[in-house]
Amino acid sequence: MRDDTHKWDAPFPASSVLTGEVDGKACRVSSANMHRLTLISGSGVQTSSELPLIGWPEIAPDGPFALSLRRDRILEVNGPARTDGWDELKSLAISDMTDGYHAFSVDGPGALGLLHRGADVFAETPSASVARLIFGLPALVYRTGETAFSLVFTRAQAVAAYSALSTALRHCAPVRFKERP
Amino acid sequence: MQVLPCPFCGPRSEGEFHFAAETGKTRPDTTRDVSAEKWAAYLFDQTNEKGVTREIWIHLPCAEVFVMSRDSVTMDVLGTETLRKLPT
Amino acid sequence: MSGTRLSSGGLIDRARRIDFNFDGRSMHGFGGDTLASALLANGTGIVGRSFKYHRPRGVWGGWFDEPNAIFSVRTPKGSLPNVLGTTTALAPGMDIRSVNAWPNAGFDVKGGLDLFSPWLKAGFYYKTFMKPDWHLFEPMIRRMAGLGTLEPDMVEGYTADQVHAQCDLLVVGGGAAGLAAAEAAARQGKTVWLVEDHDTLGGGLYRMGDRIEGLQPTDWVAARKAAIEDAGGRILTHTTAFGVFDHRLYGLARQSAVDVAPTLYRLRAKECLLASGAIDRPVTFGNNDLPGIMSLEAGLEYLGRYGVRVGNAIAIAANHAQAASAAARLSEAGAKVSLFDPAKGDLAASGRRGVKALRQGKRAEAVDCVLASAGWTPVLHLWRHAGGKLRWDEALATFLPAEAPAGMRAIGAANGTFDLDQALAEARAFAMGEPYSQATTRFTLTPTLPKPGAKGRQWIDFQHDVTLKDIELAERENYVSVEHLKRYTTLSMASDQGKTSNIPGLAAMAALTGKTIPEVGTTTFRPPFVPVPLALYHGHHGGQNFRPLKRLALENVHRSSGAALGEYGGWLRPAWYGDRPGPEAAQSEARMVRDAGGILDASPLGKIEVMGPDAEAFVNFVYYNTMKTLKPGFLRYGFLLTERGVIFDDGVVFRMGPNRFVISSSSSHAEGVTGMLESWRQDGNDPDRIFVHDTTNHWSTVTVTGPKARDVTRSLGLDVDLSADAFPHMTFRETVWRDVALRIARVSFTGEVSFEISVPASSAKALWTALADAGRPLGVRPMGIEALSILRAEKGFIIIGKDTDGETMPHDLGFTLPRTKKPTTFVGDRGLHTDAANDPDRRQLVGLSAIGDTPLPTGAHLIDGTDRRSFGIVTSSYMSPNVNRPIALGLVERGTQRMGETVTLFHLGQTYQATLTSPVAFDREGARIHA
Ligand SMILES: [Zn+2]
Repeated sequence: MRDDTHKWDAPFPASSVLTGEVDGKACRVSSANMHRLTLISGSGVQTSSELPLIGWPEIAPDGPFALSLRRDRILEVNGPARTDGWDELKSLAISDMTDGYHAFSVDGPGALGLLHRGADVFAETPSASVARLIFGLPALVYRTGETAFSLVFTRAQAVAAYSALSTALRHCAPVRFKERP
Repeated sequence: MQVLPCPFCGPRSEGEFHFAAETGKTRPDTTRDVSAEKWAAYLFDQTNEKGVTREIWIHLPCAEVFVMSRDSVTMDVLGTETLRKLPT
Repeated sequence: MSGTRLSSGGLIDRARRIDFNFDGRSMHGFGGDTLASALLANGTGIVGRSFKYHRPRGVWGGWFDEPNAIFSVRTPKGSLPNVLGTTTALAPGMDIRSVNAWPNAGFDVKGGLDLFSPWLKAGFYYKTFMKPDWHLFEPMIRRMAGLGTLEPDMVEGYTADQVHAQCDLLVVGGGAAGLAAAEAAARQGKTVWLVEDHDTLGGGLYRMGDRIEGLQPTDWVAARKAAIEDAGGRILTHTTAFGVFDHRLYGLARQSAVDVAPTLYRLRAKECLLASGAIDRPVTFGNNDLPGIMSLEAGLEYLGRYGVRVGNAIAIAANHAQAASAAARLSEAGAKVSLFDPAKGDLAASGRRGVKALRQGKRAEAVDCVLASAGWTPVLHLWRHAGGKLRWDEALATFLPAEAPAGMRAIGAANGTFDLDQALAEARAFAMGEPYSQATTRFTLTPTLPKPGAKGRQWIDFQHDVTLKDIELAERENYVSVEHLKRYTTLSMASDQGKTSNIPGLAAMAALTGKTIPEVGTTTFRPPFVPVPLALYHGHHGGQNFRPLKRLALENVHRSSGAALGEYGGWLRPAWYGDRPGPEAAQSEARMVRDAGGILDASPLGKIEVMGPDAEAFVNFVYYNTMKTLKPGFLRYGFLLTERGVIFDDGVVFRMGPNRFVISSSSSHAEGVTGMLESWRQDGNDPDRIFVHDTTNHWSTVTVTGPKARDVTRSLGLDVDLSADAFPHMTFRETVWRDVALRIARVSFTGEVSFEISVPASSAKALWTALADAGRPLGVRPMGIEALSILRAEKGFIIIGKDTDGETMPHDLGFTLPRTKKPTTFVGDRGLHTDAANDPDRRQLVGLSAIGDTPLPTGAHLIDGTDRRSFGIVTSSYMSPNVNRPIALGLVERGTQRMGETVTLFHLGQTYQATLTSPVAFDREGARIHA
């Protein structure tokens, strides 16, 4: 029975921005807003979704899209509202997961370098799924631009992810690292 | 750190995978009598092949359960087979 | 020994003077110096004391092969132990201290140990200190042995950056062969990385200073560097490839300053060219460890790179073609040079604090330095890491690369190609994938290997003080296997990993046993090739990043409510509330719940959706309890088992509809249960008819529990009739609250009326605030996990993994029906009927009522009076504020048949008495839960 409150940083404010340099190139980490996330599973879900399907290293569009997670699972980002449960007609399992994730934007010329601190994720190695481990945490990692990435973690692990990202950024640019709320 | 191929995701780092079992074990039909020996073999017997081996692995990020053939001496990966019906 | 800095020559920057201290004396060096070159330039002969005998030792090598020059270094940032002087760049203000020496290397109070050397031979520790008990002697021996000590002012923030990378070709070594190969490959369009552990490229080119392809070494190196970088190649200097791992993964450690942690590159390279060069082999002769005796290569390196002439009167003791040209080079630098060929007769050095003379037969030369070389040993550690084979070459008296590992070739001196023109041709051919056959080398030598039986002490392993006599002793005592030899004598087990001692040691054993060197064999080469700090491996995964906890959506609310947070099952959760001691708070909160009520953040409870046409059959199959009879709107408690029949998790199953269930696993176990369901789904079931979604993170759950729970919940104004008749225990409702989905369930872990209310996590704060506001006037306040633990124990409710172990089955807890009556198959069914499962002596769940006022220690064993055999343990134990006595749960052999028995318990030397009772201590009729 111990009070360990002081051992753990309080959750970061959603407005936090990390900036720094990775191998001499600028990089910025901030929280990203996604207003609806819907987890959909079904044996034909990869081909049946009307939304553009994003794997690695495809670049996600600004509008709604679907992330490819598994052979039989996608995550719709900012797609239409759907009812939770088993869709008998389409044979799809549907769960609202909007509050289940926390997304970070990592952008700038040094962004890929920061990702390389946490995973062997290379543009030359495509993958049908955006789900992978980064910094030892399960995440969805996809591109939103030429040098812009989205890292989506489970809500419960967002603080751990933030801490990993800020520590990695601090140690690849000891002088120019900044953290501001 | 090995690079293992997921039949769905492609090559990924070893840390994303878990070994599940050797292939070739089928769950005995427990609606009938299953001898203690047969049940124990199902639970505990391992062949631990030296050389070419076929194993069930799970790729954790996409939860794919698949068969991987590899060489337990050289650590070479020889191939994978999905256990899933592929979309037609 | 009297090293001298020359007024010109070398790669150092004489305009940049660097002041430093060595063992309290102030000295200076120049930019580009290593600690060792600066010390030699200052005329320092003794740099440390040897590991076992505390013999004075000087610098032996010019780079990573150095066994002696190991220092403690203090920089303005703090102190570092075990810094290798030959590879570490000198920096302003360094305070350098020798190790194994007190008060300093020149005057060592333990130096007298050398007088005892006849007793300190191989196996000495094993033989001498076994009786009565090694542990009596160990602290004293550990203090005397070992290298640097950890200082309290260790460098702070020493955190390694870690980078994943990949390339087509990795070239290890930036000498002539490596540079030529990298240039050729980069010009072909390959992505090329070249790593060099010096901070300057060029490898051995500066030793003799000869022109290469018509250019001065520095100009030739600059041209290659420019060409590589123009072609897109990447050059990392001060970077060591320290290991090769599975599937062509290379570990690179890139050093900047000594007090900044190196960067780790995990580089996946399709191909590798190993251009790691060769090092000098020591000549084994009498007193060959005296300060002033160095490798020939080192003598030339200090001259060529650092402008340091290592002695005034130098004897070269070398058995090969380079001796004469080296003599000319050193003479030109102003030294008086004499040549000895060790193949022509036994050598012996004399001197006490440094070499004074070298003798061969009747010939003796007064010298202050001996440069020795018994030939060149290719550096093939990485070759062996990758699985490459070696072959013994009689003519060169060394191991050379044989069968290559996949994706690797050796070039240049590493491949035994010792002639520069041949090395360049070979490197360029291999880089472009063209064939090349080795030409006959012009480098010839007369093999010179250690000769057992010689008089006096001849050192084989300088760093661990292993002499030829130690190897002879090991052979007499039959430690002839190379692996036994290594462990018995500690040959090659020091931090230099036998770089210089390996071949002389093997050769000595071969001579003693009458075998060839290949028959003796080599020990295994393992990463790291040079010592790397452990910080390199853990990188930034320290502190909070070591094992990060999961965080609640409501964490900030709990912090501002004064919660004491603690780890529970991988989550950071409120242990109790208020600025008061935990035990007191827990008692008070547990009393509050039974008197009025409490509000608990139960968000970590799993919410795992199982959907699809086969969902019902699947849930029924994975659960011990029958689940297919569960009706929509109802919940059921149940167990998930392993195939052995052992309890894996407990939890509650919600039936949402005909094809949809939600599994509410225990709080620490949502991911484990999801993984278990996923593997059963894909293995043995039709995965196209069952889908598993772990939605735990989307929802937050707040539980209101206690006699006033209904009043508090009513304040939410839900369109749900909360009365006991309309909304009974073990049912749930779905509704909408403030425009978001809300799920409310009657299920209880306290034994009180409870409402478990779940909303999407972004609405958790609103829900918590509404309930806390409504509770306050009723005396219903937030409660932590510590109070919950007491309350559930009062009711005999178990926590999986705490009150159960790796053997516990449901029938041990009293859940017997499905074991005998469930008609369909389920996971673990056969495992529940093994001989072990049927054993009448199985441990069963019981309550324990302590005799006296003190709670039993958790973990205490129930013991038989006679032989103190353990027949059970206490799994949970608390002071109960509601029955006003200590309560406990335990697992006890035949526990249910022993009710009322008084037992003796034992824990940490104390004994206790208790009576076995029902696990339920409070409200045995269970009326309150249904209220
Ligand atoms: Zn996969």
